[in-house]
Amino acid sequence: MGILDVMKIGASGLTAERARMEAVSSNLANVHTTRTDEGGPYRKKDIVFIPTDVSGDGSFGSMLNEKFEGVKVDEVVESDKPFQQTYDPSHPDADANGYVTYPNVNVMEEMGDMIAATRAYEANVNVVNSAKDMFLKTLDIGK
Amino acid sequence: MDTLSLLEKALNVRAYYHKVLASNIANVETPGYAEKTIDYNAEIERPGNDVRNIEVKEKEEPDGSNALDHNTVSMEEQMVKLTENNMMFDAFVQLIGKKFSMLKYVINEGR
Repeated sequence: MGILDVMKIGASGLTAERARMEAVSSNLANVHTTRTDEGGPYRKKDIVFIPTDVSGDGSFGSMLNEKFEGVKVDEVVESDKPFQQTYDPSHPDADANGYVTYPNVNVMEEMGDMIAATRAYEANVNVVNSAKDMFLKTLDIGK
Repeated sequence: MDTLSLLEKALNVRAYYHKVLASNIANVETPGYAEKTIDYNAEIERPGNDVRNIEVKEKEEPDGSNALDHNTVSMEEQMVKLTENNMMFDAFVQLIGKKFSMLKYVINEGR
């Protein structure tokens, strides 16, 4: 496990949190989308993470390090939470009773998720920068 | 291979890799662009010191977010690789400096 592997793990975290941010932005943009290709309103997208081996060269060193893993996006799932019903008879997609089915996106929840993703991204940037500083410190040995 | 020519070659390959990474980052929004990379260890073991012989590989499979426009570049990964490359370059430059200061020490008869 070298410092360079630490940086690779940090990079995998950055990519994963970026993907989470993309899901949040998609959910927020479609908070009032009532029509989709599959029919019905937009469904909230959720990102599922799994750990992954970042070194991936199968060497003895990487076998020693298999306890330390990076992260990657396993899949993007559509939430099956119930849709929101709002009374708005003038809306083109209102049903016979005047109710419109809006997406199952909760704006507050998405904002919270966005902040969490931002903070996690910052944490990973700090990991990469700290690893870099440690490496540069080793160059100062014997100066 | 003596230390200096080995380090020279390593610096050449690192400098070339920097160009590859820079072009990946420049093309992060180019639709259909395939991420380019080189195998550093294989290049070091290849005989000769000509950067024109460096084999550039393309990553065909997108791993997620940029998949819509068939762009296979991951910006974060490229930035971290660029930092890593930069760090290693600095380390090699410092090693060359040490080598020369040892030569100087000998030339000055240990004074």
